[in-house]
Amino acid sequence: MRESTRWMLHLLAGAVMLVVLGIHFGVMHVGGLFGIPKEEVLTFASVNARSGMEFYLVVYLILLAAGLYHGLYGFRSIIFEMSFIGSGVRKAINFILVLGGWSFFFYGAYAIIAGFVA
Amino acid sequence: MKFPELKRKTYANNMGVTGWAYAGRYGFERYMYTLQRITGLGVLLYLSMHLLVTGQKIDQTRWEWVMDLVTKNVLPIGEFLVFVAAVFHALNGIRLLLTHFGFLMAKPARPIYPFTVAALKQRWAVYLVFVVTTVVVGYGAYEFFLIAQH
Repeated sequence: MRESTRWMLHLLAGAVMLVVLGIHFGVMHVGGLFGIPKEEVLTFASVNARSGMEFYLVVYLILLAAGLYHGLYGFRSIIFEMSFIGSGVRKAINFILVLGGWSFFFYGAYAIIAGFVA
Repeated sequence: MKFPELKRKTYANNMGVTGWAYAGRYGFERYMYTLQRITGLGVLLYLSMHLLVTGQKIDQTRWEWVMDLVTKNVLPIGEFLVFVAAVFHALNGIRLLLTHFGFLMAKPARPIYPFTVAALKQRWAVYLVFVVTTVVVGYGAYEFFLIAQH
């Protein structure tokens, strides 16, 4: 994949996060916005009920994928801005970030899907 | 005839990370760049911890134990700082996105004296980011600290 495509995906993931993170903030922190009282939002019963809804399944899978890509690509950009890093180290960093990103994605997706199925 | 060795006149980002703190006579946007990176790193660190915490939701005992752990002591203050960082990062990100696609840029013009600084054409957007961040963070503080107390 070309670097310009990766960069555009980084911007797209940021724009997508504005929507899905906005929904997440609205549910978790703005009392009553989505019909869930603030004092109940973190109880297991409330979390379990939301986990079983298709809407939250889709929102959280998108948030997970967009958040990890945007965050890790941004982190990679910060590291690569340091001009003293050689090409071998860059390849190693790419490998570690891709591996870490997929690991976090599978861990998060497992929790989201397991919560939905249960 | 031997030619003198050509010396490089430019260096690729020779300031590195130290340039984040002080990059010479750059404008205010340079420090917005620094803040964008610092807040991004903070939110990324939180995201990884948040994933580990919310991954416990498949078991009620583990969920209640971890919720008890993260809602005590200074952790809610840390969570509020992440909220501040996320709001700034998102709003400044919108500014950067608009700038990236040319919406906030000055139109190209001949450099005729007195010269205008192109960055000043979008300085209002920088101020707007701070104003909106303050408003949203103020509302967030009300939600976090005042409503949460009752």
